[in-house]
Amino acid sequence: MSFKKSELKNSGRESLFLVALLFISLPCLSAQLQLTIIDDKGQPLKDAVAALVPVQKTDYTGVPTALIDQRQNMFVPGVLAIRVNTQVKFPNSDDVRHHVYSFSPAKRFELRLYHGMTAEPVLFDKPGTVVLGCNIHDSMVAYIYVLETEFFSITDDQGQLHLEVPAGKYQLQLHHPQMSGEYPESAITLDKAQVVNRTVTIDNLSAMKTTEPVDEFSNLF
Amino acid sequence: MPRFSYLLKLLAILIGLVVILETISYLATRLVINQAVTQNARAELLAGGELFTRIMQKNVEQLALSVKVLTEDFGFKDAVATNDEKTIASALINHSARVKADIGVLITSDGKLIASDQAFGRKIRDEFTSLKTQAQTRGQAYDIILIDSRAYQFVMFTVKAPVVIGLAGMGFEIKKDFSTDLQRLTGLEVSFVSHDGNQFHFLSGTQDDPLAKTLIEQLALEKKQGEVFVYDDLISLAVPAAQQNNHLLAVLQVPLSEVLAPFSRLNVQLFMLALVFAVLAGIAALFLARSVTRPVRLLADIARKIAGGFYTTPILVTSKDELGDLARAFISMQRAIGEREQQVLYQSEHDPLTGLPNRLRIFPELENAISRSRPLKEVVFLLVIDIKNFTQINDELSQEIGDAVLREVGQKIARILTYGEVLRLGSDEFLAILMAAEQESIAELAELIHAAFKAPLLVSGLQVSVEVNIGLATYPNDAESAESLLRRATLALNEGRSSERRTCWYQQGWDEKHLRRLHLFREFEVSLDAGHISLYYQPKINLERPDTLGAEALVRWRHPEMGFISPDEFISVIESSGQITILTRWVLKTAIVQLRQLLDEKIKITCSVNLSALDLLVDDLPAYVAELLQSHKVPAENLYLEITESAIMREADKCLHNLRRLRDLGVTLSIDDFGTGYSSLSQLKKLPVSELKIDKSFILNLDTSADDQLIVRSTIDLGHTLGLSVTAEGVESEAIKVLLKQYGCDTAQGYLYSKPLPAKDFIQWVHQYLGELPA
Repeated sequence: MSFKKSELKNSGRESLFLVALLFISLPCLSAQLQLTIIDDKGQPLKDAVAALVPVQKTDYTGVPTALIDQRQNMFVPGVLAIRVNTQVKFPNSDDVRHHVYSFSPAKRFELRLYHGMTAEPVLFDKPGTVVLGCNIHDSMVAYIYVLETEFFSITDDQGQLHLEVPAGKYQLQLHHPQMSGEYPESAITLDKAQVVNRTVTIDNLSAMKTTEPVDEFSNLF
Repeated sequence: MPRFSYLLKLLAILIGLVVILETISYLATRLVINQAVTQNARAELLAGGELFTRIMQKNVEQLALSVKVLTEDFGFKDAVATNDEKTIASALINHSARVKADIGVLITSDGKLIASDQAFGRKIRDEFTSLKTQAQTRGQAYDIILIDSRAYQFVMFTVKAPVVIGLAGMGFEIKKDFSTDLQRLTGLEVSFVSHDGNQFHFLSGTQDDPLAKTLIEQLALEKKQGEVFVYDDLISLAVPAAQQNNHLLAVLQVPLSEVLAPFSRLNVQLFMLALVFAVLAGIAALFLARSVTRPVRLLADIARKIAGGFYTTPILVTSKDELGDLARAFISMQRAIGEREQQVLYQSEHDPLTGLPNRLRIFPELENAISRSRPLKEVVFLLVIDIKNFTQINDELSQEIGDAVLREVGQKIARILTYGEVLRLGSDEFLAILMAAEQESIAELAELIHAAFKAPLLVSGLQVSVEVNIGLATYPNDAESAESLLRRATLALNEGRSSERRTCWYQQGWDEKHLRRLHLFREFEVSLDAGHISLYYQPKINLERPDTLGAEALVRWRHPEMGFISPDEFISVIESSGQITILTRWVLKTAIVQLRQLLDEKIKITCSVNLSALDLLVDDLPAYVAELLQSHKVPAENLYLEITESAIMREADKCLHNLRRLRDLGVTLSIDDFGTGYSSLSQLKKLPVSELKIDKSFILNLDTSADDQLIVRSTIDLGHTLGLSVTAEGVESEAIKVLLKQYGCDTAQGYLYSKPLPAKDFIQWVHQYLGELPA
């Protein structure tokens, strides 16, 4: 399900490839994690990222690609989770130019004003959170979570996500743009043919950032 | 000055009125203006407050914009994101200088503060707390912050890349220039003050120190924000200097004097107007007062003249107002009073019966004549004319006829005297004042008057015979004044009347005699009281029996100034005045007291007292005599009462009655001065007298006059025939005494024995006489 969801979210040929890849390893996967994430008011939290990092360190080969489009002065999707060493493309679907940048320590880069597909894809080779902005349009924000695992998913409108992973021991990481700081990792062991249902509450969320431009100085006085 | 007071009053009232009205209108105007202006100023101030807020807003927007430029800068964001402190600091310095900020700060996401001026930055602590919170939640913040007692406008923004990576802020000190700019824009005085919870502090502003200090004091009196308050002519309004911060206030003020300035000229104009009105009122008062006081003064003068009897002052009336009315009233009053006085004067000076001037005119006319006669060297003749038989006419006919006669006589005299003045003196007396050079012409005129009354007057169909007496005196021959002239003419008339002369000219000395009589009359009672009148006694000797003594009491008046006054003179005066009865009583009393004394000394003597005719007409005389005799225990036979023949002639019956009553008392009655009157023998026979005294005029020359001898002898015989004793008076010689004794006269009295003596001397004489008598 979650796969299909991600498939739905990621359109294009590259995402289809990823789905095919996941499908190959499917017979050895047996453990399932069903997560519901809510905020402190009990409301389902959308766009929360959950990642299962295997306790046993594994090396990842291959450079997958991902994509964040720019449409109507917005990054789409606004939240993207990727495995370390993923190349992300930043096509511009608007008819205005954007100046995409990041001052995040995980990845500092700058894609000066461009149109269409002219920008080079950016390789995210360090784990961490990268906040993307546009120097022209202050309201444009996107979050890329660079993870040291292949097992991750993003909550839907109901705050739910589904993960199928090989049985084993994992560290559960949770991320969300409104979270201040890191959510504490928790160890989780998933057994074969077991479906774990869990509901996680994330509190101390910062207020939703308004997307309207704040030019009204008159409010100052 | 009473004349001045009206002007002053009027002046005071008019000017006072103007001053009061002007003051009221001035105050009212001022009040209205002040209210309007103050209200305006309040409104202006509130509007100014609005404007101030707007300007502040714009100012803040501008500041914000200038800070925003920094936070939007990609390079600055880069520096902040990479935490490049040196670059950040230099960027802050650079930008602060560019936007003329006094301080620029950056607060990193982990709370570190980087400032353009590190020393300054270290001072900032808690002041930022609210600013930071606000900036974090809203992305931007503005406040006024106090650092080291200086106020700073502070704008703070988040630095986003694109999430918040820090806060950048800039501070702009509120200096005097700022206030001055605000003042220029709002037209208000602007002061920034802070309140630290306890008290206010002045930060900066357009007001200088003394004013700033009073402002702080005024604010301390809990002035509310947003409300206009006024002190020291300053209309004030406190507004928050920043919306979020109620510790900082901006005080906006308008000096009332400034607002009122345009009206002060109006005040001056109003004052000038008031002055002009006051002066006009003064002039009006002066004019009014003069227009009233001048005619009033004129009328007052006229009234004074009228009071003084002058009725012909011309009064010119020109005005038609009330004063003109008054003047016209004065004219008619003056005329009416004049006419009435003339009438009254005429009536008072004229006799209504005859129409002739009356006695009030006598002296004016006389004086007039006298003064006119002098330069002409003429003589003034005064004729007093009276109707001889007027009383008779009045009594026998009627008073109406009497009045008619008076009228006729007056008119007749006036007709005859073609010149001069005829006046009525009173009752039946008329006066004529004539001037002439010669006495003869006047004598002729007098005769003419007498001639005019020869024919009887025809009155009411009756023929009435009238005779007149005329007394005449002249000026300056007979008199030297009008008064004496009148008196002397009247004396002449009286003299003529008594001497049966129908025209009698005044003779020298008459008036003096008359005056002396008047004087005596006045002096009599005074002298009687003062003891200047005394009794003298003259002995009366019985020729047959010389030891039988009598005395006649004689009155003597020795006046301290006039000397000895003869009894003949003063008796006639007091008889005519009626005072004789007083004298008689005094004499009776004194004589009886004296008699008592003599009787006490064992002297056998009688005393004679003279009675006047008037005494006999008083009915209570007999009772008085009886009481005197009784109270002094004097036998009635010792008292003789002497009466003259003429005394008994008048009202004979009454006299007889009283005489009888006296005789009935036992008193002896004598007839005195016998032979000088005209008593008839039949009358003599009726009298209850016992003694007859022959008048001394027959005795004095008895020894030489054969006629007297005849008369005396026959009188003595007559007396004896009637049963009376006879006494001779005025016996002065032994020869006469011998003759009298020869004729059979009973008693003698005269200087042969003694002159009248005062009581003391008389007693002495009696003793001597009795002692010398042969035993």
